[in-house]
Amino acid sequence: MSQVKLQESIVTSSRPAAAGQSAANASKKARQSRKGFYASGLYASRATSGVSSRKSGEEKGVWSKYPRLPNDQGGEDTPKPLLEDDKKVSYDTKETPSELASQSQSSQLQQTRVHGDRGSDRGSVDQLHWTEMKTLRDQMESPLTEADLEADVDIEISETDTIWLLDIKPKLVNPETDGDLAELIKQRNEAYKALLADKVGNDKYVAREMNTLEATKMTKPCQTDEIGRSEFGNTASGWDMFDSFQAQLEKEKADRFEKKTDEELAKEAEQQQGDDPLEDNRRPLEPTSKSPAFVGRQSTTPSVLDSEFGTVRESVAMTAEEQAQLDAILTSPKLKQTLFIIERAVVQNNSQNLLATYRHLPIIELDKTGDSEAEASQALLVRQKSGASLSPHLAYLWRYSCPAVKGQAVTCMVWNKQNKDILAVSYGKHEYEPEMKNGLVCCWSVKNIQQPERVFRTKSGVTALSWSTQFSYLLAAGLFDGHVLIFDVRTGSQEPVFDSYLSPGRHFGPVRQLEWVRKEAGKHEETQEVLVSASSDGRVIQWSIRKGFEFKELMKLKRVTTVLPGPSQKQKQQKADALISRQASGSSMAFNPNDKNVYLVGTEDGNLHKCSCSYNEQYLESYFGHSSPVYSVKWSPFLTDVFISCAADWTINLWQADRTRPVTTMGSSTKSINSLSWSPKSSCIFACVNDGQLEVWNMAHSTLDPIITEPTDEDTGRYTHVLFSDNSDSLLVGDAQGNVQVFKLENMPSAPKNQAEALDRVIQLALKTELNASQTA
Amino acid sequence: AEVEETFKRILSHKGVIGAIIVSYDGIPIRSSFAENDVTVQYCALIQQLAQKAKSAVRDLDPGNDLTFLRIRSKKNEIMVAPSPDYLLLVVQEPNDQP
Repeated sequence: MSQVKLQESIVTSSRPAAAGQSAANASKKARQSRKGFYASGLYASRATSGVSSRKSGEEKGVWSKYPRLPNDQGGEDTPKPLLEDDKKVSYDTKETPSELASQSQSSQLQQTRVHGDRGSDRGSVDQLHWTEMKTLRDQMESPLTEADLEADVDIEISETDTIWLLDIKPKLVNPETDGDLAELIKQRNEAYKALLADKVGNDKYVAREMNTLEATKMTKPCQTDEIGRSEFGNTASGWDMFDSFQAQLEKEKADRFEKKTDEELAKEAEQQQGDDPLEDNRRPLEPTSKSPAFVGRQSTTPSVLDSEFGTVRESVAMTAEEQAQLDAILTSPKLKQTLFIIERAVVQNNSQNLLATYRHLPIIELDKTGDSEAEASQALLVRQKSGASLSPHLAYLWRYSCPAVKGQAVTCMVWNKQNKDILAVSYGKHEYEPEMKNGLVCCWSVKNIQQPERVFRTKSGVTALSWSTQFSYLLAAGLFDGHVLIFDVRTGSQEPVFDSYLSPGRHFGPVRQLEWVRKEAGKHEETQEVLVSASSDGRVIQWSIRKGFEFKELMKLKRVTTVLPGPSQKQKQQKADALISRQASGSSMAFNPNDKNVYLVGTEDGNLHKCSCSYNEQYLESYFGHSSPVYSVKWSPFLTDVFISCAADWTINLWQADRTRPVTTMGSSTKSINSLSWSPKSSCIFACVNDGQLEVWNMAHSTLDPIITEPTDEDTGRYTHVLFSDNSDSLLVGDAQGNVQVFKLENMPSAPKNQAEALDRVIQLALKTELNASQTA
Repeated sequence: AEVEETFKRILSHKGVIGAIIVSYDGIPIRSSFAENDVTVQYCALIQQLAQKAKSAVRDLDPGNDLTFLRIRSKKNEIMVAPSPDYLLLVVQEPNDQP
């Protein structure tokens, strides 16, 4: 750091050596100026130190003020700086004295200012300096005279400023703390001293001058072609990088793929199986290798795509290749899937309110008619009230119907075990008809109430259906001609996965009931699910799907003489001996939900039998109470040993497993009761349908009358099947015209806290009244 | 054929104004709109929007992907099902009656 200090010194001549000629001139004026003007000058130092100091003064601030040289005329001849930024100053030397005086005044003022703030206001110092430089130039042009050369020159000598060229502070080492370092340094110092002493006369050291040659330079022009430049930009979003990595991974997999054996591949393929049976989410096995990315497929330039796809090409002459590509798109299975989903969405839009009601969601008014929820709920309330006043009733929601099923009677309805929105409905006939129509099985979904999502056609009417629990996509259908088919609803193909056409153990009569049962197998087998079918030919057959479609006969239903109380019992028994066949025909079946080995079979004679899978000759128990075919028997979901049955004799009987007589008999009309279903929510409520109406009974309330009756009208035909919905308070009713109507139950009594107890109470009450009745009788 | 059948069925639902199937490079393959300029307009605009939506979804989580896009406006609803090969869009006027 070299600091330059301003000094007070009187300067009379301080011209840089380069301008030697006018030095005399300057000095003359300086002498005269001694009267008045003194200037503190750096330039004094300049003169003494000669050329070198000038050269070193490359810093700013070194060129500060030039001493003021007033001339004879009273003006000023101070040299002006080379660079002018004071516009007022003019180059004309022949100025009037007054102007020069004013200049001097201004410069004096500037100088005084500089005096005032030393070193701080560098800018103004510079300015002053430049102004002075101009004056210097002017000086040079005035002619010299002989007299000037002879004149005396006064030279003032003063000390220059100290200019520090190098300042290295000494490093201090404390020998006590850094003992080793101090030692080292001392040694070094000694060595150096020795070296210095040595150096003087030593041969190792030779003083030599060197001159570096400055290579002469030559510029040579040359010409090249224009260097082409192009810019390329790219953005990679996060998912773009992800896609690239995935592609790389997949490529690696593909390489390993080839090295694997077939078995391993098969294993892997099995593992990737979708869950939802109807939504076919299986990915295509080979990655699509189509070229440019669409909507951000595996592409490297997603941002560029925006501009590309913004313009839709006019379909001018398309090449055959492109056409083929487009056709391929149209036939792709993915497109089918997408259309499927969009159709659901479209239909859902239309039936928003109904679905909301079904799912117990608040209804939102979607429309243009202003504000919304208040109105809609109002409308619903109105609808509710317009029905019965706060008593339980049914609100009609929608119906499942399509042209394909018109005219066929609904024979069975079952919800999918896993996905409670999927309903399988079978169409056919219960009774024999001379011309057998083809049967149908349709899979409907709550999400699309207009169109069945799967349709399977069968050769004859379907009379029984059941979904598998283990494989939720397998649907078993029992036909009127005795066959049992198993469909896979994921693919929707018309061919059943299994069928009993070739099986020797198939039924010869219509299959009345099907049920999938999970069996606990022996030690070395896992629990597998078997299909059990009961048919009018009197046999109960168990089908297994593990290897092919195997059957095993579980039971042959034998006719059992009904033991009914009454006077002419003996006579009846004798008559019963002369039977046409000893075989009874099963008309319904139900497996005990708790004990999978035990099941009930209802026969066309009206008897119910409890059977076990382990015994195939004898019944465990027989129940007598009906006098006509038992169309449906169902175990209670809440009490393990209570079941209910309905028959063509206009009655519904409630049974307890250890009593051979019914606990109570219910009936309200003179029509045969075709179907019945327990409510999943309340233990005392069930629904049944007869030809003319739908009835919902609440046994806790009354066993004499149903709480809701919904008569059918002409165009719906007679009701054939009823089913409660598991996940919503709704009831589904199928009729002989092929419609399935969905009703919402409203104002139903809430479920009792202890369901089992409630039902038990009902039973006890019934038994008590019966006891009373028999006692009084 | 099944595709055609489903397509026609969708169009027959209540409230549906039209439906378009667009290929990956922006050519409408099937369109139920009579005027070509309407079709072209829908194609271009909806494709860009679907692209943007897909980009957004994937930026948030690269393992995720856009499956369905629904735009509800005052007068109608546009449902878009994007896919690597094509884009399917249906315009429907929503109402409450099935």
